[in-house]
Amino acid sequence: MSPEKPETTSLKDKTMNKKAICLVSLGALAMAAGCEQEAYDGELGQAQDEIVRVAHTPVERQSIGNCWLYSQATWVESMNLTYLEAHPAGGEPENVCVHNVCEEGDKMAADCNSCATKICDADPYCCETGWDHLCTGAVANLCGVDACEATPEPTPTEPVEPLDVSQSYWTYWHWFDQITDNFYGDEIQTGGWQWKSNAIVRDRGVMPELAFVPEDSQAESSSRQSDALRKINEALKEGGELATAAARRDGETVRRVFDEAWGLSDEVRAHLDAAFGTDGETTLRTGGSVEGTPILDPSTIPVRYTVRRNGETEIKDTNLVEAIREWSVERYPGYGSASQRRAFQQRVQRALHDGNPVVVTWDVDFNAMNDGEFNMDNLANAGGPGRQGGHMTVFADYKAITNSFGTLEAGDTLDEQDPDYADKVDELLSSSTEVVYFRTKNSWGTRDGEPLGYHQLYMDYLDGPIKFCPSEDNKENCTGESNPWRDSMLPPGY
Amino acid sequence: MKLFKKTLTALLMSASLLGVACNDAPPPENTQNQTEQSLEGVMPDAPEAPGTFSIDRLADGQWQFRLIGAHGDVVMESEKYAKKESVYNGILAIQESGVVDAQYEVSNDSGVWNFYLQALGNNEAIGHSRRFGSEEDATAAMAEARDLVVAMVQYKAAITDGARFDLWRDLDSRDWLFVLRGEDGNILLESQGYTGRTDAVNGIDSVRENGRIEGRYITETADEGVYLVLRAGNYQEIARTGPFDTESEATEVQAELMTLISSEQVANPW
Repeated sequence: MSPEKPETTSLKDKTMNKKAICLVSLGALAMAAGCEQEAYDGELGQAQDEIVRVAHTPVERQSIGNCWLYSQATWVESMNLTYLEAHPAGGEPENVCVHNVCEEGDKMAADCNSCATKICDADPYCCETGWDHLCTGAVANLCGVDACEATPEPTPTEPVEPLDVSQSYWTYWHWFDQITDNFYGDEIQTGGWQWKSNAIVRDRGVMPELAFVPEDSQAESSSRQSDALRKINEALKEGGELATAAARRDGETVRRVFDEAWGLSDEVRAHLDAAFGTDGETTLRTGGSVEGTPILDPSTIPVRYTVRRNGETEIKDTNLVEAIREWSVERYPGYGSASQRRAFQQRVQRALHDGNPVVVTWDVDFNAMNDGEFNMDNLANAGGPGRQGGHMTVFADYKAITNSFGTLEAGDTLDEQDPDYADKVDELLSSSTEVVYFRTKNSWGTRDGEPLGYHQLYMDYLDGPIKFCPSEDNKENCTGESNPWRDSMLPPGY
Repeated sequence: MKLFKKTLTALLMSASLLGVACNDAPPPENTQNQTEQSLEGVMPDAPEAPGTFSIDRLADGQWQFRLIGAHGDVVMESEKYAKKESVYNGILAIQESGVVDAQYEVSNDSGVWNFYLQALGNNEAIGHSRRFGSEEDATAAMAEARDLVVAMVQYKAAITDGARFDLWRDLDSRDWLFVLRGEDGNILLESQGYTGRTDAVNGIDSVRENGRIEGRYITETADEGVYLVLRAGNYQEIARTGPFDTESEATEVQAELMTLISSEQVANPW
């Protein structure tokens, strides 16, 4: 599988940027302070200090309420980075297509090539039941007229660069869909959920930051997003260009207002026109094409994660569409018994030990935060609830207390050469172990945390309950309790 | 309904009363200006959207909407329309008809299974699923599609200030109570007191199930007037409203309640 090479600076160029790639594996304490300027040394993700090892790209800082798109980007970048580390010169997934996509026959594996992925994304029957005439009939439309004669996709000889996903690009389409599809109210809603981000990825693909809003790739935070939000909300108000229902239904008008508000270059506008039409109403699943643009088709983005089958862990090299299909959101049993909660934690721990970027949705109470740590002591010391809201981030590591090996710190190496290594892992994953905190990569920039940009979520806080007081104006107006850890997105079988 | 109940249970278990309201960066120290800046973009608390209708132009220039669910999957798609405006009408039809079990039908065409949704009234096909390899898969997907439409209709009621259930704990009695309010905010049904929140939430679910069935309503005459009482299948009272001056007035309210509850256009309190 050879991902389309984005128009982006080389990693070495990026060492000059504030956001230079630096692999922060969990607890990369040694790298923390120097993360922003850590030079790429050809060993992406090879950080040594970790209890578990999850490849992560640099921390960013959201400027509006779209953490869910930042966590999605972190998830994608991490799986892509893990793949690239394993295939430094690119390479195809291990699954082989059982026949040509233009021939009827047995069902195909969706990840055997990018065309099969597209066909099965549009019609899962082709990969679940059989490759019939409707599957072959869709090839020309979805994969191009030359797909039948296509030779296997070439393996790139040059190292492939890790993705630096543009959250602004997804945000653009999130708002576009809101306004042109079913718009309620007169203000853009910036919040969302995995199902929405997954749909955006499948419909609009992925764009590198440098290709959409180049400034985003140079800065930790995207001021363009907050500027665009303000301008578009102005346009939605009475007298604005998007004030009427007719204007909102007209994709060309919305695109024009958006392109101005986002300050898109002529070149970027042309790319969006080419892929989705001047009215933006065609998607990759309804005939749109990324050909000739820097937009990446998700079916061509390679990722690696692991799956659990029959008690065994298997490495899976596939593409982003397949990952979206396979990972699932699981509710944390916050109101369940201690053993139920521990069992869920064990699933998360195992997924982290296998290098998977586990997404966590949790409730924030800023009064519980101090020095990069969220815990109940902080909340008690603050005297009451503070500003609250939902949040989505990606776990990176954890700290745990074991019976036989004492406390294993996040950031401390688990050495595979250590004779006790297997026993340590077994014990960490046992029901008797107590997780002290989970460390999460955050999207609040690198002003605090340990390492900078990473926060420690103590289990007493994640378990809660905490008072739920959504009103900003009246913190006495608490409407109930919440268990801050809401859910996590896990790979299949965990 | 199975999926909906599963979702409901999950929501209750987590007691997540707010949707994904992303917080941006925490308030930085020192300057008021920075603090104000950091507060920009904090989302108001909002119910969780269960899915969406995506409207798209097809390669042949026609328009279509897709019902998008978990994993970004297409759960159902519409027939094709020449004009985008027609798609909006189609979505409204889905919201009206898609909450009714009887409007769905599984079909088999040469061994390939899928399901259709038919419009209330004329039974014209207004949406269809993808293909499935077995009747079992198609039937399961059909139930999930129906649950998704229900959840979306309830979500729409929540974000458009529609009819809703309110749930709270009385500070004096410590009982959990709920009411069903109409779009105008008036109380249409009022529950008994429950000792636990879970019981009260089950009561809301019971209103949704029983409130559409004519035989579950009775009237009770008291000194102050006529009450309309909603009961479960075991004759236990779930909620009531009144008093009304006359029995016919109570009967009119019953009809309104049945229509409203059957439409699923009532938001949840979570």
